[in-house]
Amino acid sequence: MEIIEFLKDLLIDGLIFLRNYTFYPKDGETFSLMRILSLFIAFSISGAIIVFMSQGAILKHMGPKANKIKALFVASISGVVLAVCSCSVLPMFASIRKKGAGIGPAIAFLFSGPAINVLALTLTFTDIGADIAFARIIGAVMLAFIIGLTMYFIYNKSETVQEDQKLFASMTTLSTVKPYQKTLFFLTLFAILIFGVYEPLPTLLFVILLIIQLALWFDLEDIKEWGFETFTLAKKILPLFILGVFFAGILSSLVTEELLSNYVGENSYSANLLASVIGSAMYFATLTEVPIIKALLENGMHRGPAVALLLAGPSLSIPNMIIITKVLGIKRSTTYIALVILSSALVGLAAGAIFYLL
Amino acid sequence: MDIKILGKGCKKCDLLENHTQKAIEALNLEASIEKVKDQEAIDGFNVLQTPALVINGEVVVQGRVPSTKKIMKLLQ
Repeated sequence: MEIIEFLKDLLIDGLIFLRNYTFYPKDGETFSLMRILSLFIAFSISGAIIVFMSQGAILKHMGPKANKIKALFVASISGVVLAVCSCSVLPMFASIRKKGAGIGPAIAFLFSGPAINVLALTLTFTDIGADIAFARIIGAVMLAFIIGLTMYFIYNKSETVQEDQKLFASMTTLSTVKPYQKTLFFLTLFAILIFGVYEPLPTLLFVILLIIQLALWFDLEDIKEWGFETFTLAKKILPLFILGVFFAGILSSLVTEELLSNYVGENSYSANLLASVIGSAMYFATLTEVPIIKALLENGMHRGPAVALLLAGPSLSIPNMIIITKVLGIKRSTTYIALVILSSALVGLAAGAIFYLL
Repeated sequence: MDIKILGKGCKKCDLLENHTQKAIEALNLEASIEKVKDQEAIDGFNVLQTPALVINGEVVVQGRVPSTKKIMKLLQ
């Protein structure tokens, strides 16, 4: 009977956390329309990326014939456009690797993809805080570049992938919207996202600008497809996310404050290393890293190890490791996993120290 | 005209087929849609994402579902 009581308590804790997470995002702050709005804008931007951005243009830079350093740099930031949801990072990684992308760019994309997509960043900003969100972007891009470069130097000589330029050519956008119009359109969307949360007045201005752009440059078909892709994405991600918040609640009632403050309550290298080891083994469904880390922070985890967990967490998990090993082989994937764990802990340590100074 | 739809049977694949079928009918084309569901066969087309639309051996759309009108333009 005790076990049933225990499970019942857990269930209630999970539900309470879900309620608090949804309606009381921060101390003293009640249900905020702005937060829902910013999530809505983030989904819209992701939908727009699927419809209006040419993924082929980016993939071209990652091909076997591309300049190596440029390819690595492009790959480190390509997650923004290629992976609107961290769920698509792994299949894309397997695919571009199979089609001849170098090990450096493929690895860089694999690492930074889950961290730098619009949805993950928006949620990190609104729900955890700007300090950790900035540490996450800078850390993910920087580490993606460094880890990709290291993998390139170690394994470049043994590379025997077939060249297949076909993949990098066969992608066209169907939209008639011109490139400069698209650029302005995306800049306006991002401006709405950034101002939207804090400043209603500039936001209104940008929304008007957006409507003018849509009326002048976009045909109805474009807008319909944009709406459809946005809706499909939200339908795919939100149910999983809500489930993830519930599990974050269960986790926070299992992991006591004493445990957290003993092991990850300080910004030491061992605390950061522990955080990145746990993060690398644990599976986070799309976006659920945010509520989980929020719960751990509330229970006494230091912000440094939180960054380490955020860096190593979404890009690695035990199921991920199995797939990566299938694609890369045991030696390369072990090197990759070790690099991710060690460097994420280092960046977490540095971020924790910088947060202390600020 | 040789039209193929690549995809292992997802909702979006069905929708793409539906739109393509409508486009064919609207244009009165003599064409039939072949559905490619086998992963290895899909890999042979070098696509990164499904669903994908292949017209006369060339991948024209992948990872998204264009409207019927857009597909009509592609078929012409």
